[in-house]
Amino acid sequence: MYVLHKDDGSIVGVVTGDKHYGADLTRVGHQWIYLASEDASAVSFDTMTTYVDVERKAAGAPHLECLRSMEPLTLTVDKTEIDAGGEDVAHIAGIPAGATVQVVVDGQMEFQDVVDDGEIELSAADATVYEVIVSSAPKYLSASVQVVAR
Amino acid sequence: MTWRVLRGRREDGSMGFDISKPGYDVRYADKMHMAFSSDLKIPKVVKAGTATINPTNGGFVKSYGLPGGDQTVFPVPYGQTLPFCPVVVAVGKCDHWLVPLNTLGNRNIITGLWGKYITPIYENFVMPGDLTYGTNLNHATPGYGDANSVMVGWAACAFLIEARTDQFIVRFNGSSPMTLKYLVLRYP
Repeated sequence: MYVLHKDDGSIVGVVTGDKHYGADLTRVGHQWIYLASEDASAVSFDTMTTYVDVERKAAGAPHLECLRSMEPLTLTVDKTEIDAGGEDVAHIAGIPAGATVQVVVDGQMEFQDVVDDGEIELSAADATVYEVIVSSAPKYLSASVQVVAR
Repeated sequence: MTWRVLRGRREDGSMGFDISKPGYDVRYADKMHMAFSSDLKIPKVVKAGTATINPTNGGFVKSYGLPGGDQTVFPVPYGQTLPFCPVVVAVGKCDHWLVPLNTLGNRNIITGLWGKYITPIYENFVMPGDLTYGTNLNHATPGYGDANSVMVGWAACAFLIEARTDQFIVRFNGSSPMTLKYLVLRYP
């Protein structure tokens, strides 16, 4: 069984194949790790919450040890309610370096950026509900917090 | 008595071994009416197996969109190059996926689809799973989470197989990982 992944380790899929099949997968552009003795029809891990540790793979670790579970992302926010008008600020911390932060208002994305310093400050001109979504694939599961501006 | 078995020279001069279906004279029956003919080609299995394909996140909020919002392109090589395109037979199955409607990004997508395709949800309302194409709410549990949210199972997948001489390509949209069982056949 082969686990196919992207450059960052996100899993694309799983296919059956013997130990010689890897060369064919490489030829069509797949990156993979080979897990012998398992059949893709009985995948025993959740392909949506698992990733391939490409650094361990590059270091030559056995492929079975390169399969890792995503970790939950724990965000902390100092206050979930702020005053509208732009003066009051909520601090959201616990953001992994390189994570993508999006601010969504009523289903529409208001802001998106990559954060490297571990936290963001949120102030709001309008009184509404702001959902801050943090994505840091493939190592972490996405997480979000809500801040209400009144 | 109908002549149904022929071994040796046929009416057209070729050699072979044929058995016709009951009621058909083996000397004049066409191939569609043969129970067996040494001329009929038996397909050979080039490759058979399974693949589990993850959906690609997509939607209006790209990195947090619903899985399946963008199309996944997934090549499966045969391990050999054939002189012509084979026949690929495939069956895909997409399991349920839980959609928390109290998450803003998902809620707007789902309620948008909901209004378009789906009737209102009632308590303990269950629809049969449509595992081929479209959007179905398979199970709804009113009252899950806060008062104005529900948790639903959403199962949908659509895929297309594009057979080539050295690989077939799966183009897949789905709400959760799809398990694909496939068989690649060639005629000699």
